[in-house]
Amino acid sequence: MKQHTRHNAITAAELDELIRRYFDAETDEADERRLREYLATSGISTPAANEARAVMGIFAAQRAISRRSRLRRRIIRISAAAAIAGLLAVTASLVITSRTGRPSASDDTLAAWHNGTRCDSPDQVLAMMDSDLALMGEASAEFEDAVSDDLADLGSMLGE
Amino acid sequence: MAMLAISLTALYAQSSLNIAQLFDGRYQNDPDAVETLITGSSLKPYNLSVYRSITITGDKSHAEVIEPLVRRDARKAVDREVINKAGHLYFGFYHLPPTSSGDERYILYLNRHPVGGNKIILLYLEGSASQEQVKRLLKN
Repeated sequence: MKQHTRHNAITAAELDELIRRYFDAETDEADERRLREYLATSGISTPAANEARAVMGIFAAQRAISRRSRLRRRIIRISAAAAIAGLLAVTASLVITSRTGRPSASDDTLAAWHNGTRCDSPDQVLAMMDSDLALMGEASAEFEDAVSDDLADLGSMLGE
Repeated sequence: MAMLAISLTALYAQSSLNIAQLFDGRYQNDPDAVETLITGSSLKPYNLSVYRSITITGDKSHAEVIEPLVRRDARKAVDREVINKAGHLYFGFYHLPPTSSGDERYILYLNRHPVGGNKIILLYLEGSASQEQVKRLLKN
């Protein structure tokens, strides 16, 4: 009998097709949500699945889901304890809530990779960002100059 | 929990873009390339939530891989600024449709090889920043 659990809701063939459509930008949001959830919660490890995980940032998501799962497990344990000793469970719950109430802080990422080495120095990473943005800014200015020149030329032609 | 959901959405919204496959880690081990990822509080002053970049110095053949993917994503752009030079995409600024959560998305591409330079830069930006705010960021 076919089991309909969250993990086996997608067959291997469906997964391959979903990943292919994802990389071809043919997926809609529902497809992507389904793929994302599957990759984040299943342990499947194929080259295509791992590539999709990397592209979708699932590794970060898995860490978050893992945190969420840990939180869920804690809550279950606390609930069980509450049946035995309510006061103790409430106290524990308050402690856990205070520890996990600000998950966004751990989502801060500031990293650069070069030649297999990761750099976490904020100064260096932000300097790279500034350098890239400056070069983009030069090109953007070039575009604006070109548009201005074209408009001026057009104005001259109309004025003649 | 809501904050967690918001931050995860930011990580996910690059999906469905062709350039996403370039951030699979291949450039992290490339001696000619630098890949960066910035999310969170460092970007708040710019009204951005995600900044991803690949900068390649020297080897112009990378453009043959990156440029077609950028051009494919460019088809979805709601606004764009493009300069072609020597038969190549030299500069592209693409404002993509927002994510389902309303975040704006931008792809910026620069290939300086056609003008004698040696850099190829690909940026992906995401956040609440308007197009004008992103343009101002480039000018700062």
